[in-house]
Amino acid sequence: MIIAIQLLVLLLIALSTVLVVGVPVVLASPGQWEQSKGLIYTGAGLWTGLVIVTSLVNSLVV
Amino acid sequence: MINWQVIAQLVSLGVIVLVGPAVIILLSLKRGNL
Repeated sequence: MIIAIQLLVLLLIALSTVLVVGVPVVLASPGQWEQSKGLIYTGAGLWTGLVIVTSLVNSLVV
Repeated sequence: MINWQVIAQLVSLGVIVLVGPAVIILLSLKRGNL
């Protein structure tokens, strides 16, 4: 079960890094927002879900 | 014996330090609104 938390946290860190770079680039590139806003919203939803799932799994273990 | 914790800390610091300028470089390459 601990390995599950570690994998979830690793995934969260990786996705956070991608979003930290990707969101400002998409927002400041001309015409890119209309093209990629679905991807950004999906990434943000996935990130929120990961935070909630990680907290639930963590509360089951510790 | 290799101190893996310190290596991971340095790698993490490197990622955090490089991510900021990466945004600027990507935007300049894409001719974004800097």
